Amino acid sequence: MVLRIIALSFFLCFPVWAKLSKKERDQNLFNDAKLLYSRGKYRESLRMLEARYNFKSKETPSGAMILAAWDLEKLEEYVQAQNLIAEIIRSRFASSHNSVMRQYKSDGAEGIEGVPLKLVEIYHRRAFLLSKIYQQLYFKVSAEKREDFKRQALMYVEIVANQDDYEDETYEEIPKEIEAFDQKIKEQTWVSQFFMSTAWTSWRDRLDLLVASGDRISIKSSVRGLSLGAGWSFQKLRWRLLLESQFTYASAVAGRESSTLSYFEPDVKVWSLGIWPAVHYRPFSGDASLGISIPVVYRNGSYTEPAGFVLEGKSILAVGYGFDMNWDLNQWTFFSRVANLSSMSSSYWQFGLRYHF
Amino acid sequence: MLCSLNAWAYPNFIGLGYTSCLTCHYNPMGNGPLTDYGRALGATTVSDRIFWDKETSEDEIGQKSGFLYRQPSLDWIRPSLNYRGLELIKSYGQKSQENEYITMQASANVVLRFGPQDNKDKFIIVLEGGYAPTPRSNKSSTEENYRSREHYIGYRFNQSWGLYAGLMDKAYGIRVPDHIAFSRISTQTTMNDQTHGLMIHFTKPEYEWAAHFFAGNLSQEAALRVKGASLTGEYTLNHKVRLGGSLMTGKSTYLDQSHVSTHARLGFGKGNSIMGEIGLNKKTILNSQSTTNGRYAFLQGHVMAKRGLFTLLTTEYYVPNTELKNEVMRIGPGFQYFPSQGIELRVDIYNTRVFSQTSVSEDSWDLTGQVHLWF
Repeated sequence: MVLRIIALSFFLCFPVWAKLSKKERDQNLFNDAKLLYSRGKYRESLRMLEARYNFKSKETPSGAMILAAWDLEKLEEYVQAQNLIAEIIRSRFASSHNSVMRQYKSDGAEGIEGVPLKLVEIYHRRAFLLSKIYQQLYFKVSAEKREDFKRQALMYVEIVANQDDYEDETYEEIPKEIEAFDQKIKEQTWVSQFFMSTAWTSWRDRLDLLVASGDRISIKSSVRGLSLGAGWSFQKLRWRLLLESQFTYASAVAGRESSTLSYFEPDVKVWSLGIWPAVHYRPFSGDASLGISIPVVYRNGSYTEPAGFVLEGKSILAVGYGFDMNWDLNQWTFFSRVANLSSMSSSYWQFGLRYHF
Repeated sequence: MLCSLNAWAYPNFIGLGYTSCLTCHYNPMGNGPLTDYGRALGATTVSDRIFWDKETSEDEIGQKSGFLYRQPSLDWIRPSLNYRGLELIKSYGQKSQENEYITMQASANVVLRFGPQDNKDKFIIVLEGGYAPTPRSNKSSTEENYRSREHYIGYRFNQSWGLYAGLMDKAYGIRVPDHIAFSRISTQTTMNDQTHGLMIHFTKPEYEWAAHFFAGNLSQEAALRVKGASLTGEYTLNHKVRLGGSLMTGKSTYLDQSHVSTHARLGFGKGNSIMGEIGLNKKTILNSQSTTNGRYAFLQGHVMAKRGLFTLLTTEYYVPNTELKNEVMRIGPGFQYFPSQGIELRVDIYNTRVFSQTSVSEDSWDLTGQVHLWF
């Protein structure tokens, strides 16, 4: 409808139009394109400008190029809009822009002053466009490329923030939007990592001496040793699934003093093999997590049977549940675990480090 | 060192970004009453807000964090009340199970602030008196149950230097609120081990140290008073990592002792932390000239499940006498909850295991529940 009105106006006014100078005709066209933009007719505004101008030409007025870029931004054609902005900066603000970039590289954004207000506005729009491109192309470009989009967006925000004369403060929303997007990505993206671990481990074995009469005498045994493990973790922002296998080599002290038996054996070699599936949750703000594990452990001890007795429990298969706490620092995790396993007479303890590859 | 016996702010708050105790406490080593800032912080950042409606802003909660939940009206005086009770279940679930409720502390304290108007805390007098239980390890103690728990004068020459004189806790190691921790019992820096002395404190963002010269608790019999000195310091590696070390030597008529330790406090994310301390103890009984060497390790991790609620795991290692080769390990998962400013609830399980080359003993299981109120 708006186009029809404009077309009708054109024909009605053609005699007058023909008499107008080129400059005046361009001004009228620009005003019409602006009118379309203000009415939300971005595609039509853009077509009108594209029909008249070559955006690669130095002859094209800056206003027309900027308006076209704004049209593209509204049409969510962020890459094209950003390309047009780059062209505007290259062809219209090369000197000022190069000076700003030099100052930024050497001293950061704080000392940059006297940037033309129009260029500050363009930087603001460029920051916005780059932040949108970062989000739009997140899964389509390499990690380096997308990080570059983000870095540039934040750089322009920083420069704009240091210009006292610039009054539009909506640039403050750009870093927040990027942060929110990153957070969302973290929440949604599962990351798979291989890890290796080492831990100090302790438990208590439950052993029974069977007497010929059928009576049982329980033996106490304290065990401690070193565990080596490997596994996979699948994690996103809040949740982590863990599957870990561990081999433990340990030493036990076993004994029992009673009226019927005196049994004591230090330095008993014990080994175990365990699988520890676990679910961990980062409750507050990352870097530390709580969780539960459901271990299955096979344990074998070289306990000596006293003459005339049968020792029950030298090898066992134990299952149970554990309570895990983890603290993360880059690729490292310090973890502690307290578990209750069947066929073990007290709690199972573990403290160690994991390294994620 | 660093942070509170009276447990209004703890050394694990490095996880919340607070490295130095002086930020919140009148005592730069972190004991006793809180400053106005410390109370406001405790009411907002540390505690849950279950007793406040949604409309109440954090600023309002902070403003009402004074004595009896009021905004202080006088700027030269800061009173407070403090209560701590413990339900102790020893040998939980066993035939020998014992239940006992212990009032560990019931006291009133007052801070008099005589500094200039723009820095009232420059010159302070701290007085705290009240009930302290007879130590379980020394039931025959003749010490009064109602007594001064601390009283000292503090003067800060500038932001860096401060001088404190009076009855205070000894400056040594990480002052965790777990007063049964081996790191505190074996070094005699637990809840009733205050001493009269003079402490010099120096702090900068990069590091902090204190030298403490003490003459024993003058309310004790002269023969029991431990006279000596301690030196403790921390270096700030970054805003969430502090490394430290401590030395202490002391002598009474009966006992000569020296201690050395190193420690670290690390913050992770928001509110999460790990603290560790390892130390060596040397004690000589002067009558018999028999010397005992011991060692300990303390490791405690906190995970902040939500504002005010911490899950923690405490692991301890202790060798009272290295010649006997008996090693004690204790592991204690627990919960600590601050439902609102002035209220702390804590539950801990302690599983103790002894490793020996000459005998085997059963694990012991103890359970504690604590309530701590301060107004």
